[in-house]
Amino acid sequence: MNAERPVIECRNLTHYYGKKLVYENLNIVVPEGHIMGLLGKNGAGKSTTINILNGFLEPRSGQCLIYGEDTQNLSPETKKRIGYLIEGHIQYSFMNVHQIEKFYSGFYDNWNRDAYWSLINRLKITPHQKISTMSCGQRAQVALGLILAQDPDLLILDDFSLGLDPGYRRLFIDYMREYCKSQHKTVFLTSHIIQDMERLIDDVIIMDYNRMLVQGPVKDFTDRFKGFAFDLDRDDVTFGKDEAANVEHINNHYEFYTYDDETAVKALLDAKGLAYRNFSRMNLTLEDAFIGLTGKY
Amino acid sequence: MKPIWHLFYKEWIKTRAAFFGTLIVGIGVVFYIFIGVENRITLMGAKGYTLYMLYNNPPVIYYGLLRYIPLLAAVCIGVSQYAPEVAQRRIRLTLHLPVGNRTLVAGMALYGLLLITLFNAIVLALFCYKNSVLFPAEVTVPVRETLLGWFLAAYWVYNFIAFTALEPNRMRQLFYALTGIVVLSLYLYHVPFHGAYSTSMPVLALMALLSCPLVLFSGYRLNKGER
Repeated sequence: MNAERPVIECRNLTHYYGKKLVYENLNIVVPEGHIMGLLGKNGAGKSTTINILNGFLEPRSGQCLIYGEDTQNLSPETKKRIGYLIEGHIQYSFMNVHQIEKFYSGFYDNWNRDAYWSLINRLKITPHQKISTMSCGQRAQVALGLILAQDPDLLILDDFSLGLDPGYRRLFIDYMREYCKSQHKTVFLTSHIIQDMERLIDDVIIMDYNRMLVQGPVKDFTDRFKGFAFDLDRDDVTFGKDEAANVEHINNHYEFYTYDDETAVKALLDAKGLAYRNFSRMNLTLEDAFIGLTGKY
Repeated sequence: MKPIWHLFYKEWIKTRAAFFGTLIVGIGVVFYIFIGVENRITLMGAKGYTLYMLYNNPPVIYYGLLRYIPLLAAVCIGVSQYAPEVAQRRIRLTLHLPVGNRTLVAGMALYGLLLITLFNAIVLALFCYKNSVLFPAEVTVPVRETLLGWFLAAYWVYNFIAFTALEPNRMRQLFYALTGIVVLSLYLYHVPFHGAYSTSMPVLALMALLSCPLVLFSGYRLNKGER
């Protein structure tokens, strides 16, 4: 029963920057114990959503709730249950490794300093090294150590892979996945590197400008969403929004993305009188599916 | 209470260099002033110098160097405290702490005001002590009144730095900064005579006091995501 209790609920969220619409009537539900990834191109509203969730931005209309509390007015008790990682692993760079642990420990009742120090001790840094002198990867480990010590129920990770090399990204993801799954944590995250997210997330939200395209389990989406490649005689064929989710082509080679199956696509091409060759179904990763759905630019 | 002490700990890490740096300068200036005064007393005699100081026109403001010291402290403490928070919008880390947002912003401002009070108390106490050793009350009381005006300016400056730093809109920041600078001239206006602020002191003190909550308004706007 508990597993399906919503931790995050956004209802009819609408926001504008000046007169520019970011999105309208957005509804998001993240159940307890789920790892939800938010995907979208630059400017699609990912950071806006994260800022609203953290109470740093008041939406034009609608409401976001975390553990039933409006995010515009979270109580200290609810804030204690939320771990927040800012994009680029921004931390208090004027502190050193020891000072930052000491600082945060005063705010959380169940602060687990051993969890922090066991992770920090894996790095080749001294307790008195300043955070400003660290690489982004090292800062990521400090940020992760602080989250583990805080032991929050909900983690909000904003573009967690920004600035990390592949080794640190993999270390971060594996640690995070293991921690979240074993401790039944709820996670809401964004990243520009979708391969990383694929290893981590259960559910996905895909946003395009002004609207949400997908919300649900990753597997459902990647099973239902398909890509077909074929060659046509012409390079000027267009398809309507009701015929395909998206179509990309270079010269007469077409990539056709849809929720329909192969038979329906072939029937469509026949109905339009288009002779096709080299027809094949593409194997789509989550990144391929995301680009297939939202377009390359 | 524990979270507030830890918040103060963070503020202390940011500001301690600025505090000690300006305190050394402040104490140095006080000693420099009195080295000069003692030299003149040696040259003119105590009575001669006192009469010269009281009746010369324009009056001898032997402590004039102190005029900008509290301002220097307020600027250094304010900038060292708020610049790291504003850079990369690091203030989000602070506002995410499990304490009410208003309490966090007020706690940061309270810390800064306490540190400035400590600075003012040390420098002013040292000056007043050395002044009282050399001069009678007819001199020290009006001098203290002039100095108080200058030291009150530190609170006004600090409050406007905090108010401006947390404001999310650039145009408003510019407007707040200009307003702060223009009004600051009231605190530094009366230079050429002792006891310059004896009548305006309550107004200046009230203005400094009333500027304290301004930072909460910027904090509120920041929290709403105003641009």
